[in-house]
Amino acid sequence: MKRNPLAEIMLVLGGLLTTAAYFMTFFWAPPTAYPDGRVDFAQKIFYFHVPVAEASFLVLIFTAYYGIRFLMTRQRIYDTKAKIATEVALFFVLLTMATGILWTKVEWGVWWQWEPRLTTYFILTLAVIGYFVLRNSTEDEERRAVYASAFGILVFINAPISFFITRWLESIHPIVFGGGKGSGLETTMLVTFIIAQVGMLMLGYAFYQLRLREEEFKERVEALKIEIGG
Amino acid sequence: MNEIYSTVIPQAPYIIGAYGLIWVALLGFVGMVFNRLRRMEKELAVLEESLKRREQA
Amino acid sequence: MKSNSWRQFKAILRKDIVMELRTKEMVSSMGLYAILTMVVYQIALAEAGESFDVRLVMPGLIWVAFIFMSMLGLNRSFVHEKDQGCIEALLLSPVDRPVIFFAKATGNLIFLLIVEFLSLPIFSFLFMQGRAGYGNPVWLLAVVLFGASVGIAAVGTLLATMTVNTKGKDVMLAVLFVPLMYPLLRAAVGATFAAVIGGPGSVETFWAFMAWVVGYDAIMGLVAYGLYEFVIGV
Repeated sequence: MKRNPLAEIMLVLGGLLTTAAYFMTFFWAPPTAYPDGRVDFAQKIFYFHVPVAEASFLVLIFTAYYGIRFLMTRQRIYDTKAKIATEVALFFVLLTMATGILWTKVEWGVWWQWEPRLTTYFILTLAVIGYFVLRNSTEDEERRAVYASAFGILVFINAPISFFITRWLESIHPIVFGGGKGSGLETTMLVTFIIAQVGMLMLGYAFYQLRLREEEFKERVEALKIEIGG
Repeated sequence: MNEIYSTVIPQAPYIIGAYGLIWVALLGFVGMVFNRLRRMEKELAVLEESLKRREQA
Repeated sequence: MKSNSWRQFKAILRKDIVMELRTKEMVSSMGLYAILTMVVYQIALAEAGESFDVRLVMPGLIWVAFIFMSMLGLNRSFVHEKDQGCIEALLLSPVDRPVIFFAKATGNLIFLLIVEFLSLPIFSFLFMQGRAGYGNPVWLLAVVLFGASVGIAAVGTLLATMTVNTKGKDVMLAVLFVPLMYPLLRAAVGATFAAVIGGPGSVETFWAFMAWVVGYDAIMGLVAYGLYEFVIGV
């Protein structure tokens, strides 16, 4: 069984980078302030909320990519890869929701608000959960793979539509990047953010590889059991 | 000064909560996967052994 | 070739319409469902009082009714196909698969529009009498109904083809359908609201929302069309 050492390397690197970003968040990046001069401590959530959210979108690309690859080639491995990518996406999506809700509570005073971006992210969460419900309720193996691929592609197309509708509908959610005058970050804050983002992506890659290895193990165990039993 | 930092203490639990959550989730995920991998490796070894024994017999 | 596809398209569509005319199952069950929903709305609005402006919630209410009603119809239309082995027969016959998609989606669209155009006047009759009327010409409503129904029929046809082969069937359809429908519904409700309430600038708002509806129809319709070939084969 060949081992892909990249998974471990990425895991360690990602761990180091995210840990560094943790410290930089609190000891290096300058605090931001409300218009009245009081410190906006809750802004610190940004450094991890946004990397996780962006990682979730990026991982969904792989769901769609492997979905397309599966539909073209009909090789089971691509379906497995798409499934694992979606699993990692779900993990990040749930983390995004959880940290986002905590931020909302601090800044807006409520746990939840039907604000366009929250709404659409909620919809995305439901769609990703729907992906697994669909997998679980389809019995035939090939059918399950085809349906899951198709739905994964649909979810991936739907996500940017949701994203852009939030920029179009009046939004009270902060737009940090490319939002015109007054948005954007100081260099130290940007560096902290980028380190957290890169680290999170590395971790995402490591998670994906580890789960893939587990899935391969499982298949070999099943195959061996059949061989012994038969 | 006190006025400026008045927001830090009441906001702290939420920030700690968010960071703690991410920590626990990441570590939990890695731990879970490694745990399952180790178990499966053991199972695999046992199966391969029994297969080998059968072939010898 | 082109005319051949067109003949196949007409044949499948005619089959669906003839079957519906004979059984009247889809339109009657969807229509009844819409009317029952209105009874529930009466309960929901019962305590709101006479002064409550129903127009404020009306766009949302009608689209809630239509989205659930359409799921009922979509599920029906494929349960039939499956139970009677019709899909298998279609796949064995030399019909191009995209044609099957267009024919089924068009059939669903027609039935959906029939029920929508019947139940909207009933809604007005039951809830809007003696209150402030529509702010904009009523034909704008017809535009939204048509525009959003195209998206519902296109994506719904694909999803219903999938879910009819799963364990949950109609529940499964709802789980997959509602999240994917969100942008379309949001835009449809926005457009309907602009059409119903009126006021300065409302026509511009209406067309801006309609642009979203048309964009969704185009993008998701194309994707659904592209994926259908794979989904119907297994």
